[in-house]
Amino acid sequence: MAEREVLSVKALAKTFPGGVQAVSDVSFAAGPGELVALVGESGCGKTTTLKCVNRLLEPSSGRIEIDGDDASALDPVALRRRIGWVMQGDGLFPHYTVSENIAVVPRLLGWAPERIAARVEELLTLVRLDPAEFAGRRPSALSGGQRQRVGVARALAAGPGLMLMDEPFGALDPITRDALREDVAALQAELSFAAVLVTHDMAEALLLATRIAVMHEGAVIQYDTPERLLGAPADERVSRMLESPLREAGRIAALREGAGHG
Amino acid sequence: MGETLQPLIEQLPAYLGGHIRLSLAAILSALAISLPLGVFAARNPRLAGPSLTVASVLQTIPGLALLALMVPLLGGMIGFLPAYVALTLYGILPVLRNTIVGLQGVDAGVREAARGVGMSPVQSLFRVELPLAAPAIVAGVRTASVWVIGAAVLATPVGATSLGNYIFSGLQTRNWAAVVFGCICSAGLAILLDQMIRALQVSASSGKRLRAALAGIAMVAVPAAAILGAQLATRDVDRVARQDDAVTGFGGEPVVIGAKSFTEQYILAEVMGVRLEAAGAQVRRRDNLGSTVVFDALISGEIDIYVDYTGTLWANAMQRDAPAPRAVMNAAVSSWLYETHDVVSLGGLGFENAYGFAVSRELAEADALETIGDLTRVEGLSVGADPEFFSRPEWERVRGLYGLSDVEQRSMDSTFMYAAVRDGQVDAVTAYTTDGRILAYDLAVLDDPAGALPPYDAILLISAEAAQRPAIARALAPLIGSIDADLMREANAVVEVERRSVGEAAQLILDALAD
Repeated sequence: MAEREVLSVKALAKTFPGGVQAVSDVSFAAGPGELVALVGESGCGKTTTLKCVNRLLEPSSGRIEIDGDDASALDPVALRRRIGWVMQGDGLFPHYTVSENIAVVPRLLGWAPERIAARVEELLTLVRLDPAEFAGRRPSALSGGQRQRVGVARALAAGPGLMLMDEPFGALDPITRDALREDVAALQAELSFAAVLVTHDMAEALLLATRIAVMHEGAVIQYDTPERLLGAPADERVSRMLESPLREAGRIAALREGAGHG
Repeated sequence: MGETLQPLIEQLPAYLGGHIRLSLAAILSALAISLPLGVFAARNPRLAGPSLTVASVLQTIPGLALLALMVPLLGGMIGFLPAYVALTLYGILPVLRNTIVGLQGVDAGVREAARGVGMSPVQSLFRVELPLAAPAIVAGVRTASVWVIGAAVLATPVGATSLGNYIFSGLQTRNWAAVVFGCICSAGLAILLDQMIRALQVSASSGKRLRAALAGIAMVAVPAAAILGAQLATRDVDRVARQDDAVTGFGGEPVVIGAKSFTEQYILAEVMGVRLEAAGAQVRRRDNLGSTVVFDALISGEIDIYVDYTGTLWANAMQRDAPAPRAVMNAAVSSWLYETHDVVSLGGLGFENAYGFAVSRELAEADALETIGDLTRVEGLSVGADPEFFSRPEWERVRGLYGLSDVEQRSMDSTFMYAAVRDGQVDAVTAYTTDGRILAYDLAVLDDPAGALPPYDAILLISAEAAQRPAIARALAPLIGSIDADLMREANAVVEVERRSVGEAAQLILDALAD
């Protein structure tokens, strides 16, 4: 199993200059087609963990392997081009058009212009944006949901084996968020990349993840499949985080039952 | 109107070409320094503060002072180089400041996105940060361009040709058309360049490559054509002169005549030019040099000859406080020049242009003023003088010897002194004794019985280098002792009172010499 992991994080710790320990002990792994969700309250170290994976931050200790390679031994710039990254907010370049934004990584990798053009069109279709309508627009002329779709397309552009997503759906309205979640899930099923999703929304993690790492104060307190997490929460803190989605689900189920009888 | 404009337009290729070459070189150099420095400083905040402080301090130095300071700093060199260095320093601040501010203003999220997608620091800078900071940087470049083109008119007193030549000589000869013409040309040039940069930025950022390319080509082509035109014009002159030169023995080099920025100096430079050209020399003129600039330039050999005044050299160059009798001073000045700087005095021209206290005829008669000391009788006495005078030792001596303790000092350009005293705006002015307006405005020059004001004999100075070319001294020898104060005053009046050209005034002297 370990040989087949796209990403493996072992005993990761990160202490910032000044002594603040953001991450103390984090381990998880993701194989092709798997989605690991890092869930926790803000400040629990999930974004720091994500940024250590593509070395936007340098880990203080622990080991990260990408396709079996020790990430600390790779050139960080080359490493990042192998990894898709969907930023918090959208992180699009405001001076680039939609197609230029999507073409960023292929250009950095030196693809031929025709190949880039074909890929941009393919990706726009994939994230369900009409190329004829959107390719030439600037990010400022897009809605929030459309910008996030472009962000996903940009991360996918060079066909990475690993996608890192930092609260990609956080700022969207519920309908748009739901549609985009469905699309990302469908894309992953189609392209079978490994993915790490950072979210504070336990319901989102339960819906999308194959495995969930629940984080608290820099450490993983439970690492399990959604089913086992629901069935056997490791402690009080995990239970409390499950409360809200369970209550919502129960309430909706009760309402539907009531409606059915009425 | 056509008659007024004709000579101005004839000078335009040389002045405009010089102005464009100077400002463009300075702007480009300022960019070459401040852009990399700004990029570096934006990434190293510890450097941003100090570099901005230094640039701001440079900016607070008045333009004229910065330009004039460059002459001694560059070892007495005049002309293009000191002006270019000073203007470059002047253009640094706006670009540096806007580069730092523009780069620091790029959203941190966007910078992180650039790293996150796998851009190297250099790629992030050129593909993301600089393009996003571009509007701020271009605004800085536009400010710098306007400043530098405006300040380049001040290059004239340090001997660089610019549109300031119109303004400085226009002010001195009261040729207001030339002053206005120079101002309009310089303002027009500033606006033109500003708009070209704007057009370039607008079309570049809106992706209109063709229009951006056209604006870019225009920005290079227009000045290049102007400079080329100016250079072709001078090269023709050079070639003709060099052919003649072989016969006449002026050493194969043009003779460079310096002049300070007032009418008498223009006229004398013109007289010398005409005589040298008649003898077969090729002549270059460096008009409108500052009083100390011209002396430094002679010592360094940047100019070959000019006329200075013994009292000026005595006080400014030799730093002597106490006055001396005429004969003693003349001998001391000549030997000091030769021993200290290898500069040769060819002798006095035959007149002195001293400071004299002039009052209006009415005031002189009303208060029975005859000597400088009588001025103590004028209530609330105000004296107008050129800015140089009040810092000269003889002013202290005049005040001490004649008891002028309570005086309102009013510095003004010498052009305006005479009308000011005529119209009663000041009670007395330190007139130049050869000025044509003393007669024309019917001013009375007060006696100096205590000898407080030193003699100011006009002497012809020649650089060490030029002294090795005897043809120069030979051509100018007839001037020595041949121009008396009346003749000089009359020639000055031709320009200053009758408003005719410097050439006509020079002709008056040349005719007198021929008799």
